[in-house]
This record gives sequence, C-alpha cells and structure tokens, in this order.
Amino acid sequence: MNKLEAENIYFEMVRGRAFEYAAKEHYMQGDISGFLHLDIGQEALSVAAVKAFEKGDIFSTYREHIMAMARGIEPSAVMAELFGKASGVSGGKGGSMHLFEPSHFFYGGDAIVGGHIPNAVGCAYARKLQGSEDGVMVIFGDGATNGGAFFESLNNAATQKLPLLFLCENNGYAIGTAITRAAPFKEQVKKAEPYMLTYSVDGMDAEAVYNVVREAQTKIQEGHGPIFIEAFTCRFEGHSVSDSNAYRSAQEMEHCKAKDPIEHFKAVLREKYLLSDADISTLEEKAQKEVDDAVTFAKAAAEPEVDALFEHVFAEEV
Amino acid sequence: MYEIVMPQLSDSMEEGKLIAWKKHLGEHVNVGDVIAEVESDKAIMEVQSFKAGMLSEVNVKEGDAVPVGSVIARIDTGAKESKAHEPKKVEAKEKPVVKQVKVQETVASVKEEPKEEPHAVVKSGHTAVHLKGGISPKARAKAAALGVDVAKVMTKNANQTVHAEDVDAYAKERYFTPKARKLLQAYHLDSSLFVLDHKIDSDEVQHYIDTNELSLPKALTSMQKAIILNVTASAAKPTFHIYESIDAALLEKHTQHSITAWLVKIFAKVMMQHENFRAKLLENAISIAPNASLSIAVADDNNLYMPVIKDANKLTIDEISKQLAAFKKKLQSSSFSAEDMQGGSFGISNLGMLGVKRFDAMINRDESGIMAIGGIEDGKISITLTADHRLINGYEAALFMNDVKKELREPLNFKD
Ligand SMILES: Cc1ncc(C[n+]2csc(CCOP(=O)(O)OP(=O)(O)O)c2C)c(N)n1
Repeated sequence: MNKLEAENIYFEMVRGRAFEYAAKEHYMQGDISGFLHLDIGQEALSVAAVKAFEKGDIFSTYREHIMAMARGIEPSAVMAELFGKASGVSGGKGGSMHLFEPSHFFYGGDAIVGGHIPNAVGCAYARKLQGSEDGVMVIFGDGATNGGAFFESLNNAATQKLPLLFLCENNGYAIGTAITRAAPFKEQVKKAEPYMLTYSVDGMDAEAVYNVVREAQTKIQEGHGPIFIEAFTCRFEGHSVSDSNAYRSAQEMEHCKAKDPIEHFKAVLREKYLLSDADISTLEEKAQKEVDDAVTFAKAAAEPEVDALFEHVFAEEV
Repeated sequence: MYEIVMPQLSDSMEEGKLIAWKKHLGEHVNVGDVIAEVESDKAIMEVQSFKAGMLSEVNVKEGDAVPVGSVIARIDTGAKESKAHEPKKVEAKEKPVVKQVKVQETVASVKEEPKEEPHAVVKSGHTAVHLKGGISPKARAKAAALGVDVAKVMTKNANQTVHAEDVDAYAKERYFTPKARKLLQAYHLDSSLFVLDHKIDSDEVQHYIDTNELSLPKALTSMQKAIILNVTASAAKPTFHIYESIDAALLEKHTQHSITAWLVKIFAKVMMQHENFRAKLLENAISIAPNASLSIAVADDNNLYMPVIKDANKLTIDEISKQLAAFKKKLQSSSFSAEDMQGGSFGISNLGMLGVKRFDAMINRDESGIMAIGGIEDGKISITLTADHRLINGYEAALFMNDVKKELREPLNFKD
C-alpha cells in the first residue's frame, strides 16, 4: 500500500472505533434497539480486507458497520440505520445486522450465522457466468465454519472453481463458546485446506491483511478459483451489547487489548510512512467529527412511514 | 453535564438493578471507565462512561432497580478535559480536591448531603461476589431452594461450571452421613427431599423410604436387556396355539434319559418330515434348514438362555443327553457363548419337572415355533405348540402334532 492508502486505512479504523463507541452509547440510552454487535478490536481486519478487495461483491455477517463504511457507505447512513430511521442505508428496517447497499456491491449483514456463505457462492456463480472478473468476498466468523452450509459452500466453490474469497475472522469465540470447544482445532483454515489454496494472517495487522487479500483477489481475477484466508483477531467487547463477556478472564482481555490494531498501525504510520503526531491527530479529529455528525444526523432524521412496512416485502417486477 | 442513564442492555430489558458503584461521588472518570455494574434481564454488565469528568451526582442506591432511561448519575464534564480516544492519559487526576466544586446545576434536586459519601456506597452484604467459573441458572435456583451457599459450591468446583447435580452432591456431602448417602444413591433420591438443617443419618433416610413405600430401582444387566429385546420381538409375531397331550408310557419306561432329551430326539425326527418347522423368514424369502436344530430353554431365577442342539436329527440319544448336561453346567457358570445360541429353528421349553401342568411359551428369536412341555399326569403330558403363523398354518401344525403323538408311541424310537 502507498502512503495515501495507509492514511486512509488508519482513518477508517479510527472512525470505525469511534463509530462503534457512539453506537454503544446510544444503544444504552435507548436510541437503538434490536441487537448490536460491535467490531472494536477487529478494525484492522474489517477495514483492510474491504479496502484491499477493491472491486467485486462483499457479503458479511452481522458485525459489519465498519466494513459497510469502508465500502464507502456514509457513516450517517449507517448510524441512521442503527437508529431505525428512514434515511438509513436499509430504510431503517434492517437495523444493525442488515446493512445492504447493492450500489456499493455490499450485501452485508446476515443474522443467520453462516447463512450468507451459500448466498456468496450463488453470487460468485452468477459472476462467473456473466464473465465478470471482479470476484466475490465473503466474511464470516470462526463459529460459522462449523455449519453444514459452510462445507457445502467450500465444496461447490472448489468444484466449480468459483471466483470466491472466503475470509474467516477467527476471534476465538462464538458468543461465549471458545472455538476449541466447538471444533477440534483452533485453526479453521484446516477445514478448507483439502479444497483450495489457503492463507493464514495476523488479523490485528492491517498491512498484513491488506497484502494477503490483495494477493488473493489478484489470483482470483486471474481465474485461479476460490481461496480461503483465516485472519486471527480479537474482539475487545462482549459478543453483543447484551453480553457481559464474563467468560473471558481479565488476563485474557489484557492480552487481547495489548494487540490493539489501531496502536499497532499508528506505529507503522510513524515509522514506515513518516507521519507526524500532528498528521495523526488531524486524521483522528476528522474521524471523530464524522461520527459526531453521523449521530446528529441520525437523531434528527425522520422515522420511516408506516407504508414502508409494505415495501421490499416481495421482489419487484422487472 | 453528562447524564448516565440506566442503560438498555438488551432489546427486552425494561428495568435494571444497580448492583454496585465502581466510582465514588467526586471521583474523576476517564472515557471508557466502568462506573457501575448493572443487572439486566440477561446478565450482570458493566456500565462505562463515554465522557470524562467528575462524578458529581449519584441517584440510585446499590440494590435498587429503576426503569431503563432513568438518570442514574451525572458527570461534570467541565471538571476536566479528556480526549475521546486516548483513555491512557497521564493522570493529573487522583486528587478530587473538590469537596463541592460545583453545586449541582440549576435543577430542583439541591441535595445538601454533606461530602461524606451519600447513600451510594453502602457496602451491603449482597454485592456480587466474583468467583471464577460459572454457575447454571438451574444450579443457582437449586442452591437457593436448598439454602446452600453458592460461593462454597463454586469454590469447591473451582474453574468449572457448577450444575444442579454439583449443588446436589455438595448438599449430600455436607448434610448426610456416608451411610445415608449410600441409601440416597441406591434409591436415586434427591437431597431436596429433606430439610437440610441438621446432619441426616441412614435411619432418617430409611424412614423416609419406608413411609413413602419407595421401590428399589435396579439397573438392567446387558443380558437382561438382550432378553427384553428378544421377548419383545417375539411378542410382535403373529402366533397361534395348539393344546395337546401325549402318551408318557414310553418316556416313563426309559428314564436313563430325561424327558427333554427324548423329546428333542423325537421332535427332530418329525421336523425332518415338516419342513416349515425348520423354516426361517427372510426379507423376501423363506429359508429351510437342511437339518433340525432345536433351542432348549434353560433358566435360573435371573436369566433365561436358549442354547441350540444343532442337527439333532443326526444325534444319538446319548449325544443329546450329553449336550443337555453341558448346557446345565454352562448355566451354572453363566458361560454360554453367542455361538451356543445360534442356528435353531424350533424350540422346547419344559417346566414339567417344576410341577407346571400346562403353559405356553414364546418363540425364540427368528425360529418357527416352540413346544411348551408340562408335567406328567395320569400317564399323559400336556404339550402346547406356539407357532409363527407366517410360516406354519393350522393344518400343518395339526399334522405335526399327530406325528409327534404317533412317534411317541413307537418303541423303536426309544432304542439306542
Ligand atoms: C443459524 C444460527 N445459529 C445460531 C445463531 C445464534 N448466534 C448468533 S451469533 C453466534 C455466534 C457466531 O460466532 P462466529 O461465527 O464466530 O462470529 P463472531 O460473532 O465471533 O464474529 C450465534 C451462535 C444464529 N444467529 N444463527
């Protein structure tokens, strides 16, 4: 990545974290309802992967606010969606878990664990038939790899040589269940090894994630077929705002937070890209400002009309 | 001034209970600091502050429950500036020299409590004890019902999740003598049946068992399980019975061999004339055994076996008697092998020597029928045929019975 890209990625990571804290605050104040899954601690992965997968379609899980913004969806549209407002990216009817914006090729947010993986396979199939070279990326958690649909997806993608990038965010937990209690090994990449080319990467290192996703996308665009990447990461918060996180010890949390991807990347900016502290502060302030504006926007935005309940229920005729 | 409200921590939460304050009135709060612990409808959760400043007002006591959205505390953000994302500031805090720097704001609640920490931090006994490991809700409820101290059970099962059985085990160990525990175990009794305020001995448990007329549960042995399966399958067969009696004169005359031994010999001979008595039902076919093999019911008061005398039509009466003797030995030492039980197509069950006059028997496994032999009475022995109607019809069964009766009157059969 070049200096501009690095700055941009740092900006998006910081903005993502500020956004998540703002969302948490407003959830607690009752402005946001439904579920809320925060991505704090996983920003490097969410931002760098999306940025690296420049073109193409992206499918993601319910922990997707930061990815949606990294795809170019406005923070105000995402925050308004969380607030359930009409100007939200999904018209206020999807909420935190369903941020959907086809014009950005972002089909993110699926409440069903692993439910979006077969959808991504279908999309990759369609893209292949259409002769598109951009490829499809599907992002999912370690827990999702224990489902049957996951294995069927690997199998289909590999058999059909689909242009599909599987990106597993291994944060070690499915809600409160440690992955080693639900699978016989920590590395979920082992599940994909017999099917396709695989990579493992430190998900707390934005540069590493960026490079590996870039490499994979290039290969996919050259007709290589599906690729699997596992990125090891760590979430700083509970699974959702309703999760007390009591299953992780203070020591484990300390260990986890010591690997803060923002702190890590900040050091990279200083050393490798020679940004000054002032440059960094400017980025941080701008990020915070965007989030504050998004909250102001979301608060003031209008509720959906009652009639909106009847929209998007059935596919529209073309 | 920044208001901290009773947070909404899940979609279904309507009110929250303040478990503990983690910051005191007048204390400095950084962004991200935990200021309280709150119990939602799902869990005990931490409440963070998203703004820095001084905790200037606390409205809820530990233990109180208030609706979501009520203001539980206020933070005076004017007191100290602090950046949003950089919680680790070099701390100039530490000295809330304050006392009462700012007298609230305008609003009504001019609480004139003196500085000495108002209601908030009353350290009442029930503040949450944080132990490692977890406890299931069911176990917690059980402990409460029994009056057992959760903390003790959790300490005992350190680092493991405590389940209801652990609470029960703990209660048993603490309140029952070893002998009493043995009784509880034998009768599968739960500790909650007793009032746990004294040491309970076996007499007390026995008294409970007697007054409630509890029966003693006994686990099935694998042999018993196998027998149950077998008998159940047998009961599912469509069967009919023929009740007859045979002339015992020749049997009574040739007592050097048992009645069973003679009957094996004669039935084997008649079976060779009636192939359906050597038949076995397969999925889409009937297979007819070339020789007559008979299973013989042998039992003690616990177990019933059906070992098989194979190809009995080819054996002499001596050989048959020897095999029967061998079965008796194996019964005593419970040493039958699976091999011993295989290959029969018709069975014999004899209760005559126990004084039973007449009975019917259940067909063994996939055999075609069985003959139940009663005791001798007035020179006659009752025999009852149970036949699998899918293999043997009434006409053939009647012919078989007639042939058996005829052969039993034929002295030549009682040679050798
Ligand atoms: C099919 C299905 N099963 C169960 C759930 C409940 N559930 C919600 S999130 C989650 C854990 C998923 O863990 P993981 O895939 O590792 O994702 P993470 O949240 O760690 O990113 C579960 C089990 C669900 N939403 N869908």
